[in-house]
Amino acid sequence: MTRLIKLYPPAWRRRYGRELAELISTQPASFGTAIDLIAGAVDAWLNPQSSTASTAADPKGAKPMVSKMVQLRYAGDGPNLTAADHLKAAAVTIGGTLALVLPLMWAIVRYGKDPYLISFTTVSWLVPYLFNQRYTTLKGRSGRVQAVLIGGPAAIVIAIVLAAVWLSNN
Amino acid sequence: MARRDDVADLDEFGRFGEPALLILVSLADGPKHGYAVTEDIADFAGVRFGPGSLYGAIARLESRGLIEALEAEDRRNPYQLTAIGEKALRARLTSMQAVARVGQRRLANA
Repeated sequence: MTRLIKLYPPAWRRRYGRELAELISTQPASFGTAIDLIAGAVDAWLNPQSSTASTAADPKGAKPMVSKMVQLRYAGDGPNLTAADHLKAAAVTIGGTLALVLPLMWAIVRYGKDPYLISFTTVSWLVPYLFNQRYTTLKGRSGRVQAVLIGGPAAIVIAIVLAAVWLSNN
Repeated sequence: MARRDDVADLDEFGRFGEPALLILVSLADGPKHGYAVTEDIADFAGVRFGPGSLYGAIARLESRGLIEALEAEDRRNPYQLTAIGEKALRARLTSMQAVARVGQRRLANA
């Protein structure tokens, strides 16, 4: 169970990891504890400002980590989001949705009520919505991080749609 | 209202608000480390928070100066209330008492 502590940000682990491991060792391992730790790790990554861990002493790695955490914090609704960013995000969401929905609707009219086309039309807003994070929550993150955090959920959505339609047809 | 300003810190804790309040109550009678806080809360409130929730709340309380870590004992860091934490706890408990009084009065008249 203590392995789940590795999911926490390094600075957070340096500050609280030892204490957390000590506390975990006093409790029986359970699914609920695992979920609680995973949720705590997600929170620690998303809200680095909510702990003093970013200032924990570590002469070797503290500065880069503080920098990354500040970057992560400001990547959300932080003060460096401009009106232009919000406009870009809205444009990507609306424009992307229209760009996907209209051809899909045309295809439904042209080729009939194919369940794959109908399903993709229904969730087509979600993919542009994920992409708008480039200008909001993921602004300032590296291209690789953006690719993983946008492409991953988008791939999952597409896989779910494909699986759901396949299952309903078989 | 000044009282609302005092309790604003705990209001900002989101899902960590309840564990944060109970941690403050637990520390009100003296410093404790994580395990002792968990056991104490289980005793007086009947809830047992997971380690992730407990330390999520402890991290928030510490970052806002409501609690502070003392020197480590063995592998455990005890925490104690700060003056700010005590003030926030008093304000929150006063607010809760007022709500409880209103609720009980209304139930009595129902």
